[in-house]
Amino acid sequence: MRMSSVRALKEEIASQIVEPLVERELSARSFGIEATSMRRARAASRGIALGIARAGTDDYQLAVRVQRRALSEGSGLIEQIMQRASGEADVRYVGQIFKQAPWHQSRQRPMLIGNSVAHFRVTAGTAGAFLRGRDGSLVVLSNNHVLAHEDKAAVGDAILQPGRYDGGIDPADRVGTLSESIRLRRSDNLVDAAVATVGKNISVDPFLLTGIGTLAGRSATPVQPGDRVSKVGRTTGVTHGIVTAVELDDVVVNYDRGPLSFNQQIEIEGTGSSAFSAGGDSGSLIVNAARQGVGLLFAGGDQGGSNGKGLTYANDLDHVVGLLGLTFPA
Amino acid sequence: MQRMSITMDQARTAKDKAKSLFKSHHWSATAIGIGRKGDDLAVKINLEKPRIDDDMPREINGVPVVYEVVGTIVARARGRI
Repeated sequence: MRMSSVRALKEEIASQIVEPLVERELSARSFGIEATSMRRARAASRGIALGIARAGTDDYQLAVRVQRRALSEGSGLIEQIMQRASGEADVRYVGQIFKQAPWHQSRQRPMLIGNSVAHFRVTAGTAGAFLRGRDGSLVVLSNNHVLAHEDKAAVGDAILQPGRYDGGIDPADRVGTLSESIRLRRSDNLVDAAVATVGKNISVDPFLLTGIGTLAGRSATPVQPGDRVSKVGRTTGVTHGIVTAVELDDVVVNYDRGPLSFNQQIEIEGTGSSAFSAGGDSGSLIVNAARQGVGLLFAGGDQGGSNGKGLTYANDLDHVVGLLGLTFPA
Repeated sequence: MQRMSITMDQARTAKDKAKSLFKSHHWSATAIGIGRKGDDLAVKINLEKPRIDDDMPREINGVPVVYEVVGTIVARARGRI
């Protein structure tokens, strides 16, 4: 059929066959829906979608996608559609369709850099890196406000992957326990950082920066204004940016407990038309063009930057590694 | 004219002077650090709101000073459940 013919057929079948039959079936409650207003039921429970599928070069047919078995079996609906379409319809049962969360907001084993992670009382942040702690054990690095609940958590508290906001449940999604955090103060903070010991039964990939490449350890030289950087985070995935300032002092950041100020911070703007980060990217490892770690993302705003999409703030990774006694995996 | 090349040490010295000036004049800044102006290093001063005083420096010891309104900065965890 021509495209225009299929479009006309689709409209005709939708108005003359599908809508009357679905409303009749809803009234008879043959789909077993719970009591609710008809307006809501019609909007949410129709269970059939019509579209246009390609049948060959310059040849099209009606596409029928059925989400409810009751519509495809015994209702006579499909038979009526096939008859009206003279058999030229591609009918498929597709079942229920769910919103697909991106990989970084889903349960992931092995755990990856950029995954959703959080203390069991915190919504969600990002697993920045998998490093070795003071005692040589494998730890996941993120922010204090992600893993230690702004100092309200206790060592040994459960850490979930994904975080609660992304459906993580304790203990099913427990991947480790809080092992150390750097206490947040009103002023003169250098880092918002914490680590959790990864459970022995939890697999991780400490090197893969999905969408960027392989993590190449830590940079031996500090970033400079103008350097290009990247990160992979729980909310915005892979983003690229440019360092707009370094050694920033008195950076005032609003937390649940109030404003706190930080010194020696790195500032980044997103490249192109995007922000470098959004809420939920806290804890992301920031890497330079050589894929070496340079910073730990912890804060941001929605104003500023040459594209007007806001600025992101990160702790200098040297301070994070030094204060928590971390080493990168060889 | 040859472009002036500002070293990191010069920028650090100018940054420290900017911090002292802002403190003594009670000017409000949300951060003071080292940024860029063109190809040169500069002192970068972040402001929450656009309220640049005419007396605020445009240059310190030959190091340019740039201002940017950045609004409020917040910790980047996902919002509360």
